[in-house]
Amino acid sequence: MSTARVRPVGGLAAAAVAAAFAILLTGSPAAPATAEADRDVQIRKLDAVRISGLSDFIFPVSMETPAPLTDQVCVFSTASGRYQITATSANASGRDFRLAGDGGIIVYHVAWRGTGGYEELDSGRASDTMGGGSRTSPSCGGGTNASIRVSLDPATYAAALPGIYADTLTITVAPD
Amino acid sequence: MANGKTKLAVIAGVALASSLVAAAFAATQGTPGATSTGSADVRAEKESAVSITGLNDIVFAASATTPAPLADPVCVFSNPGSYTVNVSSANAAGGTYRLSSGSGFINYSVSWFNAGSGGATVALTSGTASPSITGADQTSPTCGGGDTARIQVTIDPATYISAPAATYTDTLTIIVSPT
Repeated sequence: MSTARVRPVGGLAAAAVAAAFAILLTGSPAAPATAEADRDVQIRKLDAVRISGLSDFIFPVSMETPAPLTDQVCVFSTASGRYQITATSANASGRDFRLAGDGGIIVYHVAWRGTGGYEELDSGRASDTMGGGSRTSPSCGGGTNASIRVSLDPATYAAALPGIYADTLTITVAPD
Repeated sequence: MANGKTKLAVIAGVALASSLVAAAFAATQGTPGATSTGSADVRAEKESAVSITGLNDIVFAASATTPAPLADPVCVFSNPGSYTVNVSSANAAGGTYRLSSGSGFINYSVSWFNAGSGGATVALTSGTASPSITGADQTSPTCGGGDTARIQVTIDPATYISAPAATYTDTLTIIVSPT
């Protein structure tokens, strides 16, 4: 946009007025005197979540069924700290979490605790609503606010041949 | 490995073979977003284990002539299902099993059967592990109250008949290892 503006210079007689005018010019004289435009700025912020602080679950070598292992993690959720968990076993059979090895399979169980007690999970199925996630800090301020418990099924452990059994547990958090 | 001893009598024990799972940290962390996904490895290592139980002393009746062989059923648990057995004599001469009176010896032989009754037999040499033997109970350290093997002792007629009258004894040490 450019603006041309004409104005009188000092208190001169009328005959001399025309010559005494100074022309102050900026921009193109063809442009309109003023122009305005409005642009709306809008953003729809969706809820965001994050899970972090996960560690591997390595059971001790044992002939007998080892004790359960737990891991403390951080869940961030802008949905007032609420979220759902879906845990999936790479070797799942139906809803069962399974470790696979040369000597067969070992079933295991996964439970999640946000607030309150542990809730048993099914592989590939979203949990009930969990609470207690951090509302403001994606890293939970360096702390943790949820717990995962992994326990091995005694019957399938007893029946398994000696050897190494492994699985990859994938955990997805969604706002709720 | 499990071992036991017998004075033509036996004591049983359990030992465990193990190795450690290498901890390779592969957990991944989620990133902020509409959903967030992380992962963790879950690993377990089932340990190999064996035990031998149900051993008894092997006591022959007094006799002027060579007594018939005696057998003792035992329970061998091995979660891989197979095992080796190494039976050694306290009075061995080389690989020969011997009873001793303190001044004289009577030779004997030891055989191992892979069942409480019947089964395949393996002739043993004192201090030498057997070939792999199948038939162990894979799930129950007590074999469910039954037997999965038996040890048989046979007195050597030649050394028995020529031995002076006396009491002859030996201690057998039995080591079972998973295979």
